[in-house]
Amino acid sequence: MSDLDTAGRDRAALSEPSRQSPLAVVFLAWRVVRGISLVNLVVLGAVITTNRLPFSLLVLAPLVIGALGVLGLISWWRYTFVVEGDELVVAKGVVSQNRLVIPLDRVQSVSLEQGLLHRATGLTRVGLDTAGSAEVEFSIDAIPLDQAEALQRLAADYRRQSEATEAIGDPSTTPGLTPTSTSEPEESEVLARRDFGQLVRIAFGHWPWAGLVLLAPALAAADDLAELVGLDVLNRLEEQVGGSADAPVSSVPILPIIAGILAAIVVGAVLSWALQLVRQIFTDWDLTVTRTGRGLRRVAGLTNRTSVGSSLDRVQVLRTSAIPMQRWLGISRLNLVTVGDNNLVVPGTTNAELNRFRELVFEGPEPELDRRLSPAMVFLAVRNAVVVSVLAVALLSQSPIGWWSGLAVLAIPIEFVLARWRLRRQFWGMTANRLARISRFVTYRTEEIDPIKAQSVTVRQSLFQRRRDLASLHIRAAEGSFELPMIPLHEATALRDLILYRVESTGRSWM
Amino acid sequence: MSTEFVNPPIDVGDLPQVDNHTFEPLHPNFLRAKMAGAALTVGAIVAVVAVVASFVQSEGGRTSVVLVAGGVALLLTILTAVLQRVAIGYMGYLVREHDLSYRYGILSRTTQTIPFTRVQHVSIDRGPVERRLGLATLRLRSAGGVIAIAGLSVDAATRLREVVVTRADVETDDPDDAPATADRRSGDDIAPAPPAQPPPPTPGDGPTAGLSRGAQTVTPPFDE
Repeated sequence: MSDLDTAGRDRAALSEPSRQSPLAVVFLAWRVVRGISLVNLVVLGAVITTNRLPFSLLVLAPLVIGALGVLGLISWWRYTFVVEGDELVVAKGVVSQNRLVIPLDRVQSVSLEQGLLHRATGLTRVGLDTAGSAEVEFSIDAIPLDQAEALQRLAADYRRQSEATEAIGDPSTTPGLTPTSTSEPEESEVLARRDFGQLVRIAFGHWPWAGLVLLAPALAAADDLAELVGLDVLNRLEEQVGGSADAPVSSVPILPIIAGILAAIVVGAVLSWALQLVRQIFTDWDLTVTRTGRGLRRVAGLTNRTSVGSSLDRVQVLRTSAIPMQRWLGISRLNLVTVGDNNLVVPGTTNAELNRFRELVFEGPEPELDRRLSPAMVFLAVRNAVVVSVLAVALLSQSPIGWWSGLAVLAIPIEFVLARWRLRRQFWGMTANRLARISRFVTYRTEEIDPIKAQSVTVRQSLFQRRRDLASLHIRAAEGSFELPMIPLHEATALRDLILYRVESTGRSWM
Repeated sequence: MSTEFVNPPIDVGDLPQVDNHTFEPLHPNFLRAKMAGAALTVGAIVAVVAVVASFVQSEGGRTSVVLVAGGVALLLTILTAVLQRVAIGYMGYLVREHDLSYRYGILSRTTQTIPFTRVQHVSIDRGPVERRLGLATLRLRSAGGVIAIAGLSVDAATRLREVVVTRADVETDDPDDAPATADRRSGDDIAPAPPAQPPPPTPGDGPTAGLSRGAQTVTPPFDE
């Protein structure tokens, strides 16, 4: 019964046409300013301060700004939203009145986002996603949090209701707000939570390139620095090469050079990780992913708290990736590719968490990943390496490098070894409800899709593949796709026919 | 969704196979349309060469530029004609009870299949050359991209659209082409290919089975 009460209260909170908070005008202005971009504003400021503009134009500027302000106020005044029956009706427009009608059961997700100003004033920005095909993605800049949450709950109720109706297959069921017996209880389960320690681990599980890039200019100036501290290495080297060959080699301080390079790498890496940690703290502070009924909700952020929700049915592809450092820490990065703007990304996912997400997204057991791609992949890679290196040798042999360019052929055995390694570490497998693929190269990647999510299935054969009876299978989902690049033709066509059978023989929707 | 989960084994060899059917070829005029396009391109290249040649000072130089360009243009035309002939000979479509497949490609060959339950929008486009040659392009839009079948006769395109609209319960560009009724369908010469086996059961074939509801709601974003 309390559900009914809540629903009634939510409905009451939205039953009268309401306006956004007047602060919305500020957000609008801020968006305009951001649109003009900082550079343009600086240029404008410079032009004005250097008196390049005639006085009459300077007088005009406040008038224009004033007019824009009045326009903003009018558009704020004319922008109202209300829940009428089963629909959210948004009216807006300065000169002509536009009415945007969104049936609540078609709202896929309602996301709330609070910037600093929002949090100070108890307001929130609301984003509505009615995914399917076209773009009635729209947002309301600033409304009270209570009202936004009411809208969020109301839309979720309607969505559940419509899903239950579809599942029962009885379209005559009248939509109401009471939770049906088929809908799952509204208990929420925390699927993942990240505290500060875990954020540190997540930050550490990144390649530390950024800091090295930042250090590059410093390394360029290293020679000058060395001279300052009396280690004029390069000069001494030059003297040795150009001067007497009798000078003992040991006079070049090799050790300090190596130590210097190592120190630079360590400093760069630490700098990268520190920067990454700062970034992680801002974007993923107190990240919490919860499951509510048939949906997932991800809330995170330090200054800008972002709340993104999605029903589980909107998840199209599940991807994970783990670089060596992440594997060492026992974590990986989970990406639930969902229909709409925001994928649900969960960094620092442990195996236990991953398995729980898999259970929620997919039905049935996990597939055995024991099938391989064709060894022809190695042949193709080596053939391409041969073509490229022969071309490189032919072109570069005329250059000052001369016959040193012959070293390019070394790429062929290297590519052979790498391609074989890659092939031996790629597997795929399938059950009735899941097609999965894993690549255990440097970065471990997995990709999983329920065949029911297929929007179209393609079997493709290049000339190379045709001669060897091979093919690629490509499954396109509403968001993201899944590909098996080099498998026997008969397997590809059988898989295609099986996927089509799955899609066409069940009434289950892809979303 | 508290139904009991069942997972019976499926013999993959017994499933209906796309490759067991003959694909319908495209309209013969499509080759002419393609050739017209190629001729336009070659013509544009020749025009550019002519302009360049007019800047060449010596008589001999001008002749050789024109000769080389003419030869290349001729070669390109012949090559395009041969390639297009091969390509169009391979292209084709197949309509089955529950899906539509489209096959194309010269060097790399592709067969793309889209189940009707995934189609959200159907449209027919006709450019100036297509109009002159009595051709049309049929586009099937799903949430995951578009299949465009060019080189259909207008008749075939219209009937295909009706087949898709009937089976997928979707939107179409043409307001007269609201979901076709049974008697409209009876005149089809584009009947779905007979299934190799009895088609699988389709609990989702009722009027509510279409997945287009999202798309339909999204279409009129701004009502007056």
